[in-house]
Amino acid sequence: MPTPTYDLIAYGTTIAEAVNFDFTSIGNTYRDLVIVIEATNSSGSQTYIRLNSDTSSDYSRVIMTGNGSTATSGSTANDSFLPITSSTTGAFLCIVNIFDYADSKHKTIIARNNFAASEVDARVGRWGNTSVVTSVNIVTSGVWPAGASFYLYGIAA
Amino acid sequence: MPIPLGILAVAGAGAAAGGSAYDLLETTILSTTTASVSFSNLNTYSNYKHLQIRAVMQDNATTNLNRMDLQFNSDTGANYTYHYLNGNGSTVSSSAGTSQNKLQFFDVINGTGDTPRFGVAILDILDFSNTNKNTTVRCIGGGISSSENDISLGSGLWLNTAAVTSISIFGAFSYTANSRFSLYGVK
Repeated sequence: MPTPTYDLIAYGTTIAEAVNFDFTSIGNTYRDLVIVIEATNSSGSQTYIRLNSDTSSDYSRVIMTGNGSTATSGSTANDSFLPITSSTTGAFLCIVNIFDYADSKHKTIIARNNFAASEVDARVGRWGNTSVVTSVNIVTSGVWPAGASFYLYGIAA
Repeated sequence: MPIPLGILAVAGAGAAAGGSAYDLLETTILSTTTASVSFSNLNTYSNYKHLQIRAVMQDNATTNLNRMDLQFNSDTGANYTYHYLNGNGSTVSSSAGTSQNKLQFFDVINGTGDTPRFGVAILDILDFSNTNKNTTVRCIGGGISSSENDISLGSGLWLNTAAVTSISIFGAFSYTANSRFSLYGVK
């Protein structure tokens, strides 16, 4: 029997400049989480996430970026946060998938990031922690102007 | 859910009017190491326009760079074409295959010594029951283990206009226990 899913759990839009947005008290009703962000990176800033407010060096990432002339790939291990955008300036649409967020695996995260004016990227991240994800802290190293939107969806499996 | 100062937030939105457009159809979670996973009788889902597979997986290979393989309707003929773009943390590369006997997209990370580390993928099988088109697949996948990194984007084509009634997922390896393959229907 098909089960309706991809449910909107919570969302919010900034009404003034903001530097962070948190989804908290996330239940374990679903198998995967999807976060959609529509915002603008201010000069030289990037948007990143932390899970369960973990500031330890538990995050690793691999990134693949194309900017219209070159394609590059980079990686960073054992960081204290997981960037989900580059520091490219401009409006972006970012879709973040957090798989098996309530399972006892390290959490693998895939994100697709679209700066329509300058670049696109795909990235995979790993949170080296087997805890259930109960919160996602979304932070910018700059400032999001008013109108940044954040959506959290749950997908059953 | 606390609302930070300066945030206009609305939480707990319900399902939109008009019913669901994205449904969970089936899930397979492996209890033991398994060579292949199949979804069959997909003709019963012809009320959906597209299929999506969300996978969380490891392989049991002792070598790196082992890619997920797919076949439709058990077709082993040279009827598949694919392209993929992948980044390994140092370089970006692209590969393609034509007249292949399977689709192939992204690296499944190996779980040797990496029990809690799994790769992931999202595959969209578009217009899967439309008999006027060859079937197109797009995907994103990747993972990070202690020995390999991969982020990949891929597209593939099954050169057959038959409705897709089964999907076989396999590789030159087996998938380890706790790998998960979930099938969704999109209207």
